[in-house]
Amino acid sequence: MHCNHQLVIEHIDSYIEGNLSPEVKREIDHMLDNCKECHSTHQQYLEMHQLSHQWQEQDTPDWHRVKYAVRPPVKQSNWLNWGAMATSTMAILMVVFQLEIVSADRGLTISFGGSQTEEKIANLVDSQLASYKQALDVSFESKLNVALERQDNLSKIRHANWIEKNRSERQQDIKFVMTGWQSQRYEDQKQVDQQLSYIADNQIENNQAINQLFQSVSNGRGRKANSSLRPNKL
Amino acid sequence: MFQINKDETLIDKALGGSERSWVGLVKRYEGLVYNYCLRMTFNSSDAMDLMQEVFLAVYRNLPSYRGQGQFKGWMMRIAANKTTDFLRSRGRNPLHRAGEVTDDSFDNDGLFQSRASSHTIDPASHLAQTNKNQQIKEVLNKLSDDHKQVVELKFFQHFTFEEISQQTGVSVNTLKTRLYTALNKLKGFSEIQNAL
Repeated sequence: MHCNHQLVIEHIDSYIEGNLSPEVKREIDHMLDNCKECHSTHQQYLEMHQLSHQWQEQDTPDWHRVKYAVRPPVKQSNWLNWGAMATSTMAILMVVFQLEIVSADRGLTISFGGSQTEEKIANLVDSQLASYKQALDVSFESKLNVALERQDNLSKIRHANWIEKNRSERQQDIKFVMTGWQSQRYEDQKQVDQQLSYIADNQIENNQAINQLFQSVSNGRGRKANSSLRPNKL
Repeated sequence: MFQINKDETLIDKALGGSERSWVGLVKRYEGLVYNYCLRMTFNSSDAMDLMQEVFLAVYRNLPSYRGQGQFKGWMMRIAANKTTDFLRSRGRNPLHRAGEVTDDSFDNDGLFQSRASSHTIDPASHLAQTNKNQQIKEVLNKLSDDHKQVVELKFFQHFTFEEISQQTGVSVNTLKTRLYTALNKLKGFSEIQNAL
């Protein structure tokens, strides 16, 4: 019988998994029943499938899982390490040999083995203290001068303020007195004017009375004796 | 199977420099890859070398993994490529005795050795297990490298033809033909089942 192996090749996987349509499955069934080669392939497929499940998983031998996988660390330049080592060594040697570096007026003095005696150290301390005292004195004097100057300025300002205030008070007092005096003068003048007016009025009245009196007197004498007397005018 | 950390989580952390995550990812799949390599090379030493090459390539290509598909499929594609290269290079090596299946569990005058286990295994059960694996190796050894690869990925890795096609770059129809041819080559081994 002529067999279309290609159809089996195409669908043998789905056939075993049961995913074929009934028509195709029926056709494959027919081929497997009638074609020796396809039947054998089907059997091999099943056997291989079964065989694969009999494989016993082998444990993985121990191995370095990160040896090749981990990125190599960034290599730092050697000068840094050498520099750090040289600095450390130098520091240790300075301690061991008691290196001393003294800064004086004439320059730097470098000594080994602790050559600085206690007297030198005391002198150094004294000189440092003296310089410190001098610096303190200078500082105190300058601060004192500043304080005195500030106090003097304050005094001047207060004095000027006092004078100014006193002057204004006196001016106000004088102005007050003058105002009072002028008002009193005005009142007095007013009173004098009233008195004078009163006196003038009285004088006028007196004069009128005298005149009337003279007229009456003269009129009486004339009638009696054609008087020869004449009245005096005031 | 329940996984505490997803593959993608481990990958992200490994890419961030986490050595622990990388080791966790490797431990999750090293058994799969090692046994795959073992069936493809028939030699534990070669399998070990090949597995290390695979994981090295996986690590180097990890930044290019964009989460497309399953990580297992992506990793097995690398494994397939590495295996192909390895088998080709070994085929060119005249010192390699082609066609000979070496059972490296028995070395040094028959003394039982197991590189695999640091723990104690019953020798009898280990022998039976080794015999089964040995017979499977002998079956696979009858196949060419291409046929062996499709049988491996189809029956032992349980990938679909589409997945195998993506991993190997071979068309689905070609893969089916190769599988059919491979199964026909094994006709003489129909007694395998009886032997097992």
